[in-house]
Amino acid sequence: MKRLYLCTCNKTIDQVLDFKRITKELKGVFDSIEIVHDLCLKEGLEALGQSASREDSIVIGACSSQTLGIPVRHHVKSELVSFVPIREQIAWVHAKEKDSATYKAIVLLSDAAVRLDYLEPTTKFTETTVDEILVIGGGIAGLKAAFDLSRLGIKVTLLEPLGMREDSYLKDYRFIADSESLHDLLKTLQKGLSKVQRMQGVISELTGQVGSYEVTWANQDGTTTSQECGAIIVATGAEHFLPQIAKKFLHGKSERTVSLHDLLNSPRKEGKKRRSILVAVDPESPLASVEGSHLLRSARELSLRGNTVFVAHTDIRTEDENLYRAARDSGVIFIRGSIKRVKETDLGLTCRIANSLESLDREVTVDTIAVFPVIGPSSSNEGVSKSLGLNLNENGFIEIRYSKMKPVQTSRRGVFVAGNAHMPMGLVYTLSSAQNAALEAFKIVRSPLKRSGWIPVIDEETCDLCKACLDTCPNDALRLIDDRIVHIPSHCEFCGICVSACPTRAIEFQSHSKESWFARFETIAETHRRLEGKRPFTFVFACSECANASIDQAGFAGKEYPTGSYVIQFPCAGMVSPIEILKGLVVGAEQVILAHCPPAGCHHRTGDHLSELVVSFTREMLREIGQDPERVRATYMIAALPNKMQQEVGSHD
Amino acid sequence: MAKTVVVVGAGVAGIQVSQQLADLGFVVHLVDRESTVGGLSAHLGKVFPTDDCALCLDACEELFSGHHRRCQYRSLLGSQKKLNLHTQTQVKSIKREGNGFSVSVKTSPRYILLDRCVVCLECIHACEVEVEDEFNLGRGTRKAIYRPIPQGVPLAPLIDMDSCTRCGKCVEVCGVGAINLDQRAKTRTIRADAIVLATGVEERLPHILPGYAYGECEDVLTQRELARLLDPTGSTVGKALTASGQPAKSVTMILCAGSRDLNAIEYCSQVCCTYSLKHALMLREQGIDVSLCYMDLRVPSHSRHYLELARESGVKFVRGKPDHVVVRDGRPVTVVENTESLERLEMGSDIVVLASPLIPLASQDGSFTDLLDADGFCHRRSKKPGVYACGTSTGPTDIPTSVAEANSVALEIYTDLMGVGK
Repeated sequence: MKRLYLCTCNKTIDQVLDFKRITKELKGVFDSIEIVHDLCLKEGLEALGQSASREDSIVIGACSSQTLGIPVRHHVKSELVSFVPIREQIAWVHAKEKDSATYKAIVLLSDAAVRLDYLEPTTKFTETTVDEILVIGGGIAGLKAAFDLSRLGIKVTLLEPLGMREDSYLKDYRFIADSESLHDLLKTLQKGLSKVQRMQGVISELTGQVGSYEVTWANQDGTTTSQECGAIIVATGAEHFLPQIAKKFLHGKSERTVSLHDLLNSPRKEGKKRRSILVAVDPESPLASVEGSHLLRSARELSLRGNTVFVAHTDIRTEDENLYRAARDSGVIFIRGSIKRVKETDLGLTCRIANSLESLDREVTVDTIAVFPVIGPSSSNEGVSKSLGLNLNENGFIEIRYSKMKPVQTSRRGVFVAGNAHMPMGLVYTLSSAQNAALEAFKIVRSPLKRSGWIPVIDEETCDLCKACLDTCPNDALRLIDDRIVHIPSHCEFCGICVSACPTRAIEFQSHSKESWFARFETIAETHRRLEGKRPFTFVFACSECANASIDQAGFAGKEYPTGSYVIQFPCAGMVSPIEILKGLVVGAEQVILAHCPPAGCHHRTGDHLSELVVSFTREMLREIGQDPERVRATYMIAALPNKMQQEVGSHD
Repeated sequence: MAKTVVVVGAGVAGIQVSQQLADLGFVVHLVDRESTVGGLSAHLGKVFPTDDCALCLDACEELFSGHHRRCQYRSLLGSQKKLNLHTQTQVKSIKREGNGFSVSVKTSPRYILLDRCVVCLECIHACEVEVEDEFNLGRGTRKAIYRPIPQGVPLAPLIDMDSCTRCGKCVEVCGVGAINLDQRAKTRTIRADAIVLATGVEERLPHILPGYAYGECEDVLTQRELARLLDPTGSTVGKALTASGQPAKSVTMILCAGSRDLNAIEYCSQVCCTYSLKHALMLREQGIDVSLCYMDLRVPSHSRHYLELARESGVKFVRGKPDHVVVRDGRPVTVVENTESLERLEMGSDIVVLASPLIPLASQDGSFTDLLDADGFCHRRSKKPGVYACGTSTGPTDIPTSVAEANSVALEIYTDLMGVGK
């Protein structure tokens, strides 16, 4: 049975919408129409659960599914439920146009009834996982991640670069903390690694999927090893380099110019006379705070060894303000400015320091210039990212999915990045990052992966094997295996981007087939015309993440807008293809607006960008055939900007 | 029996650690003294590094398989089985009890019953009492029964009893009996196996720096107040207006207004440079001239684009720490030495914005005193077993770091309480 439940929300929605009229118009469409008053309360949900049977398909016209969806799902036995937000998206924003608001409700509820014809239950799958984690290390984060996982009883393999030695940690990572802290930390970590399998090798291949990956690496002796693991943590660390500008400081030309680390590492000779040292920083390369802290600690250390230390600097960002004071108190002399020229004379190195903030240059003559190294990506990042299918950012560090809230997740599911492999960071953040990665890896292997959702279905006859879907899927959820496109459910995030990528429309998304869109748009247009006559209307194709959240929030924030637009939810705006847009125009919409997540913020990573491409392409097509391209446009919407809908379809002010 | 964790503070870090702990099988009691969650992020509108909503949270596995991010308002924080949210709740005392703690909390009355309210908003329409909207700088009004922010969770309104006249109109229109004007404060004791302090920070109101005319001139604001002004849900619909309602044409920003200052707060508040630049860009988008006085510009690597864009968009950078701000003819005038040109400048503008220090909230509460350092911040892993901290309660920091720290603390707690052999 097709059932409709309309909620009055404490008898308020029916003050704006004419429920009698709605019921009358939809009598032929639904087998049963029930009006309730508090669907979201415990008694309302229980009544709903008792009234609707497992075989029913249900439309709920009430508040937004963003807040009602899951409570309903817990109480209703049927999986075939469609929501129409008559509160946030009609009653709360169209109170000044009661008649049109009622018509809009009728249109959208009719649409939902058609949607029920195409709804399918979600596909459910369970994947077993291999109870083992591979940490690809080389630095502190790798040790820490292995340590944390080992403590939980998880089998860990720590794979480090060929030829790596114990003292590498102290030498190569001296920049992340003072040497005492680093020393103590390493002692603690090494003690906890007794159960960790430690190997050295170079990653060459990754096959499999999250929960059951197989990694292959090349050993020292040329043989290869393959191992299964449930998740992978990339902690390849960072390296420090002498900046290009070292040449200007006469590095390589004069023996007096050395790298700072060589100076710090050189053994102290007894009775060595006091030297004057200028620590030279590359003014063009902005220092991360870990580098700034390292600069201050190093300068202080050199000063405490009895040298006169100058630091030529611009902005120094540091993790701990006290490091400045400690350096100054130890006698370090800070000169703001950049080194313009260095000349070697018998007296030493004469350096001209120009300060862009003052009109005078200074000259200082020193025995030694210690060039401050910059931190750059590990040389193994290129190889590792290629073998594992990860992305590198423009600086060669390993990219994360979303810089604000996903600090360790990479573009590949089940592969995490920790520590300096992602960006230069000090000790405290390195440890957090490593433990964060350990948590995410642990969550994958601790129990079988249970997921459910609507998945893409590929029609092999229509499929050309062009692989556009493979390339476009942001989650590696489609693969070419034995001349077939195969879906990997454990990687799928149910976005539907693959649908729009396919040029032959060989992929249809469960519950969202082309047929379903056509039937729904036709119903909307027909119903609209019947009730509103020749009044123009707009389709708003809104993603069910940020865009829909924003449209709901327009209701909460009282940002009213005129009737005349119908919001259609898509799992991701990236799923919209020119077919849906053109059909929208063909059934009579004056405009089609695509609303997606903000740039750099798409919940599915690439959907916003793809939807902009689709719209741009469609506009070009329209222009070519003599239609007004302005009939189609794309925009972003976010919950923090509840006025977005007003900006797009107008406001009453 | 499942182990229980009490998380104090429902800001970004508090929510993150709570969701992770709930996913890991703990029973979590998340308490916050405010009426809605989000902490400082709820004030901010858009945040760096991604220039999108401050309200974005990681979603919990229990409800959202696939783990998409969700806005606070659709995160169903109040409906998760293992995660118990207690707003308007303060920790009164923490006593050690066996291997765990006995945490006494007091919940102030909301006067709205959270399990009855359907958020129909009729009570708000019916209320006739209007007062200054303190959340939005006192510009604009709200009712005595109100929802502080549109996206605020819990979604139900609350009553400001100090302004309420007890006329009872709201009770009349509430068809579900969700309003109880006689609701009393409730005290309860929660037995916890671990405690997480995620109490966060707040902006220090700059009265300590009288030279900057804050409080004297209504057009001298803090950066957080500017964020309210620029938020489309604020009282000016996102337009930068002066207190008298005129569109601002020029804004002067003063960074380090009280941070890195031996006379005020000694430490660096870490994130103000970046969010000041973020606001500067938003002002430039409205065609407003912006001058920014700074000592240093400290921008993390994931947010360097703010600095580059600010330079490109014509923000005027003045290196110098302003000596004072005077008020002439009702306008604030910033007096600063440009150390670049060695000129003494007097810059008049419509609005002056101070980047005030971020100070820890934990130090304002007597219950935590012995867990804090000299500046009032907590250690991630405190010397007292069973007590942890994450987010800005351990030191001012940005959202990505808070999230990473919260995640790492979740695993730490799991390891300590449920590790192998336990």
